[in-house]
Amino acid sequence: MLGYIVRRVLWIVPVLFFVSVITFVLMRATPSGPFDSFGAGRIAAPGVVAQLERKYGLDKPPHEQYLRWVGNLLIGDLGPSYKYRDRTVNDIVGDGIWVTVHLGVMAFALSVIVGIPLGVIAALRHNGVPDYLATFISVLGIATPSFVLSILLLVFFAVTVRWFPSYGWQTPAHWVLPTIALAGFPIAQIARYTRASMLEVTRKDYVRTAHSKGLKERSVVSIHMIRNALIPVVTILGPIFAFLVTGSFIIETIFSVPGIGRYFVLSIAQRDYGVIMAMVMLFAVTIAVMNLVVDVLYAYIDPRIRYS
Amino acid sequence: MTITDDQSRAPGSPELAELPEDVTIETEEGRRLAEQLEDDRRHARKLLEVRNLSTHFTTRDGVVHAVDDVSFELDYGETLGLVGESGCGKSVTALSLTRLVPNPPGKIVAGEIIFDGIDILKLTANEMRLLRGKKIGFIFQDPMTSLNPTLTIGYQIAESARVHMGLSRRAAADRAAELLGKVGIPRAKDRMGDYPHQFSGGMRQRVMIAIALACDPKLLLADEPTTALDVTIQAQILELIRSLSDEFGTAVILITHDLGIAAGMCNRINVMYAGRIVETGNVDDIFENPQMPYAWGLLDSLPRLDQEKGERLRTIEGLPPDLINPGPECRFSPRCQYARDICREREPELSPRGENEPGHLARCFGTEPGGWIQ
Repeated sequence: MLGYIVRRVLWIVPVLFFVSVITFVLMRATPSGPFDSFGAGRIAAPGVVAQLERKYGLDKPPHEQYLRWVGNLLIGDLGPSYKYRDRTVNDIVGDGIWVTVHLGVMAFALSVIVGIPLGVIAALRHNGVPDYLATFISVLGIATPSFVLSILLLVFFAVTVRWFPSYGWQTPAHWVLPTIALAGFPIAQIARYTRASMLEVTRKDYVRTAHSKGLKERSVVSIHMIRNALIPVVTILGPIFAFLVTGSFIIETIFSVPGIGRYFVLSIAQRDYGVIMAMVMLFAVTIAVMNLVVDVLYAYIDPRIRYS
Repeated sequence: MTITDDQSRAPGSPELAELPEDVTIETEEGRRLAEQLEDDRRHARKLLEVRNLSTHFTTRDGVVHAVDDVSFELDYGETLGLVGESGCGKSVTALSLTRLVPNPPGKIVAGEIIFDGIDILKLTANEMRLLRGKKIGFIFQDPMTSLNPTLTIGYQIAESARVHMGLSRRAAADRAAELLGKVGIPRAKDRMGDYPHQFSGGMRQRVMIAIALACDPKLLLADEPTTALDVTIQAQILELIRSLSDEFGTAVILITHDLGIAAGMCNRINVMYAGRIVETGNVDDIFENPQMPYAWGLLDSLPRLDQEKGERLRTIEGLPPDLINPGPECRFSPRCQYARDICREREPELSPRGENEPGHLARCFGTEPGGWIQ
């Protein structure tokens, strides 16, 4: 098992290499660059752009630029930001990442804590009122874009009943609305997966065997059904976690959360090359690690799966 | 007061029929008398009496009469075969006995099931649960899918002992190891922590038998226990079921489509067709003197060693009838080469056959006394 994990971790290196090369190429193949606009329609004089490019080494051949980026990455330097010239990419990521991870982990916990029981209850009361209710919530959660949910939450909880503040990240009260808004979609996703998986398990022969032993309904569900039903659900938990902890542009913007999620979108619009690369790599590492975690979890849940 | 060997009864489980009040058990003689009385009662009583059981399934096309007005009895320690082709209602009958028919779509709509003096269909869900696994063990057809893949063998065997006998985790594990040894798994203690996928099909079916017998039940329902296994393993599993049911004094209902197995294992046989019992009797009577053309068909369609080379295996022409709207006719009549007009007008009752064949009943006008089939 340990050998397997080590091998999988080593495999992440070539994955990151390919992801970074592809991102680099696509990024540089996109027309216009970081110095074409300075906002508010201001355009730099032609000589200034050339000078800036020379300063940041953007006039060198692309492979040289890439290798320099890799070299800097290896010593932990993500390079300068071309848009926020008083901050490095390290500053930008370092300032926001923990807020984003904090928000993401809370939203993930909420999705699992609400989504799985919702799916289980729906399956156990198949075609009953709880099932229809849970299915309704799931469909609503999947069909409602996060900005709509965010605004509804703001209107009700921040404006009408004034339970929670509408923006910022200072106190736990500030955390509530963005967490719920971010968890809305994954709750629905997890609930649907869990429900479908539980319904499938309900028909399994070993569940009939469990009933034939005279176990309490509660034991049949908790011991014999849920664990087997969770195997497919775990598969989607990995990507969901990766998406949540790398931040959301929309949620962070609406609730003024000082995370890094918004840079994901902004950096691309601004051609802020260093930030783009940093964000993509962060996402790639998270996905790769989460996939490994999911595979290890499989072995823990399902004894038929053993790695060597 | 408990006189039977039933001290391990879980709290709240259904009581056996009470003794009459006029028996005093203070004296040695009284106690003997009481035991005698209980014994007599047990002998007079059947372990299982099924009366007019009907189980229906609601489907999109209509109501399927899977089990239709089935009645039979089972003695303590007896082995009864339930024989018939696929879809004739044998499995649904067995599931009905433990109220495990999946609902919806299935439902027991009529009848009475008296098990050891207890009216099963009148029990609450919780009382029924206390009977399952404790008094009635169940072995299912496919050992590859009937064990939970994520739990250890030891846990799965110990589970019902913990629930019904109130054993501690350790005591239940000891009992499970003992049972695992009894069903012929070598080095049983070492294999308690194994998972089902580490066992072969035959070994898994042995585990199922250990699970079914974990609480020393009075009745074992074996639903095609060897169908999914290869032939050499079949014989071992059947022998195991027989020897353990003898040892524990367990009555067995063996469901099979294999007449050879039924002949070797059972005291009595119920032949089922299209949701009905069409012939019932002692195993020898059924095989030597079958009284229903369907039973002949079943016997004829067995491959024989003395068959001429190149001779085709005989089959019963046609398919079983649709059980959604069974008509008034004999259900086998469309496939019966002896059928006459009366067979297509109404269905015969089960009636006695043979002079010295007590309990031999068949549902056929043609073989009734004075019938046209000799």
